[in-house]
Amino acid sequence: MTQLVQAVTTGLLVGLSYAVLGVGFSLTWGATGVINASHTMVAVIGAYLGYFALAWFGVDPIIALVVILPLFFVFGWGFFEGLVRPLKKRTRVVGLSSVVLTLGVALVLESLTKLAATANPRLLQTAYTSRSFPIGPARVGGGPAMAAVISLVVIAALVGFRQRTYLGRAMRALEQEPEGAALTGIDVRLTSGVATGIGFATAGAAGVALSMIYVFSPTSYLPWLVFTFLVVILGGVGTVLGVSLAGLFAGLAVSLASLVIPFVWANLVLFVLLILVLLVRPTGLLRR
Amino acid sequence: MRPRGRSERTIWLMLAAAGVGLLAVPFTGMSIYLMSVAFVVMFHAAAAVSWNILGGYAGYESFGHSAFIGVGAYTTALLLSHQGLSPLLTAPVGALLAAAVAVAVGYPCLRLRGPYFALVTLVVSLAVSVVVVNLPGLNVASGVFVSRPAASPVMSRFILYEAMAVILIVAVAVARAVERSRFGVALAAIREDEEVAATQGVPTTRFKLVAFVVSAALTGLAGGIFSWSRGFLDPGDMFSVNLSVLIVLFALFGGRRSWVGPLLGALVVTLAREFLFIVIGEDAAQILFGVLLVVVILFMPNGLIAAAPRLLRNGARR
Amino acid sequence: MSLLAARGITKHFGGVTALEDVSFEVMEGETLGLIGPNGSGKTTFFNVASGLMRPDAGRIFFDGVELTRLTPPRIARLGVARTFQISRPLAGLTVVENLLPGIYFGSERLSGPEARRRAMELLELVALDGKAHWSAHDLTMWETRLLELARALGVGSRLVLLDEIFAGLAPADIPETLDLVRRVRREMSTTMVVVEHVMAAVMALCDRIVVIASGRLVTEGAPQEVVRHPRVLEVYLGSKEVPDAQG
Repeated sequence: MTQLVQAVTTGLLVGLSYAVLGVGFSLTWGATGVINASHTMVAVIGAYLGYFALAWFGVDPIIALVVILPLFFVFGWGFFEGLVRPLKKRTRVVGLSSVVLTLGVALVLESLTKLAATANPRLLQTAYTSRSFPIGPARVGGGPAMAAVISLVVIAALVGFRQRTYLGRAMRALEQEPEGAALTGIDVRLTSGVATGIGFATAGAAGVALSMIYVFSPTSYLPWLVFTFLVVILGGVGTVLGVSLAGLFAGLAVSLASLVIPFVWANLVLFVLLILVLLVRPTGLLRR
Repeated sequence: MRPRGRSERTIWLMLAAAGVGLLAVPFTGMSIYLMSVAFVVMFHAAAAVSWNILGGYAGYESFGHSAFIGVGAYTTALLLSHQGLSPLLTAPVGALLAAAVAVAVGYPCLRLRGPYFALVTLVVSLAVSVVVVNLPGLNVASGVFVSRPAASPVMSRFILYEAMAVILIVAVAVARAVERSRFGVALAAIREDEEVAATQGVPTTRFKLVAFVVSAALTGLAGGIFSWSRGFLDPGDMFSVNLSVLIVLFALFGGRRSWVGPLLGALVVTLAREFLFIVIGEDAAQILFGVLLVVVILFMPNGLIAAAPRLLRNGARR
Repeated sequence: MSLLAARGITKHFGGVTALEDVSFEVMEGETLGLIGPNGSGKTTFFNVASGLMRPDAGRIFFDGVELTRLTPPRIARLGVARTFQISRPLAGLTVVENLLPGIYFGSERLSGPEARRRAMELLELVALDGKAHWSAHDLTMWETRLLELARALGVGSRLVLLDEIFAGLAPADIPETLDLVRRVRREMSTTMVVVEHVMAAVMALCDRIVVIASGRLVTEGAPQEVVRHPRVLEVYLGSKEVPDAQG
């Protein structure tokens, strides 16, 4: 029984990190129509930056986020201006082209990361990652716990931004009605740029969070990409709540599956789940 | 519509002559290195031409074709290391297994289009790789040793070259036959407007699946011979997403309307890659490859063949 | 002899009822007009008849064969052809190539030179043969409509569902288009169901008219009777005045 509670708790905590990963991806997709396959590679870079902040400067990755978040925001906006706008000018239907384009970006980033940091897997070890905390009857690792905290803060901040600020509401309008939004006087370019910037920033945060749970290397972007697709497709593009719930669900699914089947096959559960969802409801199970 | 009859026969004869020429080249005294490079180029070309039957003719761009390469590769590799059977015999078995996988995943996947199809095929290829690598009893995860085709390196390279040349010829022949057939016209209609094609009587579901299966089988065939050249199979190589994307790049770069585009794309990009691997190393080469993808999407969405006349004209003007 | 028979066709989209218990028959050789205000369900009916949508209730028959649960390709194979309200040419192909799928896979299943001959015949019928090897992308909007018609005939000429082929035409072009449709009907002995808003065309072409409003059948009968029917006037004009034949 405690094993079950343990699995559920861990699953939920890990799921929050999936959620943070998905939320940024969904933000970009909703605001620009771009399916950013390099999103998780950006997250991996965030993980590396946090790792080296600790290794070289003794700065905890969470503190390093103070630098990482604005830095990635700027990168995201630059990505929008430099790549997304030209793409949208030249292509009528952005969907598939954006997948190819961003895969190209992902491969470039992967190789740059490999050159800079080698392909060796990295394990983040801080003061708290080796400790465990009791939550009710379960014991939770310090890593997943801190990851969950980061994720919750980011998601909460994002929800607040989307509800309370003009740009946030503009983003939501853009997601729902891409063509109509422009007609209502929304500065589409500014809104999309900010959305992409925020998307990249959350990717950085997600990377730091995931680095507290998993060993990572440049190629980690691929399994993380599957998490992201799963969470966004399951929860629905452009819904922070939907994606968050989907993240929790995915985390639970893998965690509970690991109880019953060998670890190697646990990832397969995610793949099968994603395939099933794509077949049943590509627009998302939780979308209105 | 290009008329048939004599000119059609002439083209087939020309292609046959080219095929014979391709098979004859090693006899003019090719170095081992050149034969190895040619082998990789032909492998990439065969995979790209096969991919294009689904991706270019029907308009369903698969981002998971490395799954079929992997299935073909491991079929021949395992049959060789466990049963001592030559890939020359077992490659068709690899093709059949790849076709079986395509039948299994094809029907559900083909219900999606565009980016969703791209994503689902990507994920399916990851799933297939997990399944193959973890199949009970076969010990794939720790790597598979593949013995050389022949005792001497020269003979080995020669056999590999000839085998892959045959496969490339088969792939081109099949692709061209599809292009010129009613089936090919149907695929083009599906690509242009699937709903209209259906109301015109085209059995869209069935034909898409056929294209998917044929594409998978030919790719698996190529993979079956490719593994023979490797010596040791590391699960990462055969099932890599990089390989899937590379195949897509070949077709995007060269053009997707006929078999010529993917072949040209494979030739140019593979040679460029080989050159860059030597000059600046694998990681730097991948960087260029990624940049190339971005450039192609932004500036040459219909591939080199379509863009070349325009580029040449603009170049001449300066 | 009844060629197309609809019995109790019902189709809902979420809360909206597109068709409610619609039943009527199309006799072989006749030209039936299907008219009604915008949003009354006419194109939905065509979608059901061609298999692109499945009705929630009701059945539909073509020459005795039930179409209700068949896929669009199967229905086309049987010889039911349709055009689309907004033309959908296969833009990447040539004009001739646009016709080939229907000729290869429709009711006649021709191949080789025979198929190409047939394609050219149909293009001649709609006067597009001069542009046979043009890219369909380069046709004018009017020409794409001709292409739609030729393409439908390639699938089969027994029954053609024409979706607003007269829409947006300048009044001066209507007689020429009427001649074209009459010529097609004469040479191919085609039974037609014509969805139209242009009343002049409806009155000139149709042997019978079926009126649909808000998804329901209002009335059917000879053109002169139908236009005087009080319910029809109400549904179109909100009054009981008689419209003149120009609509």
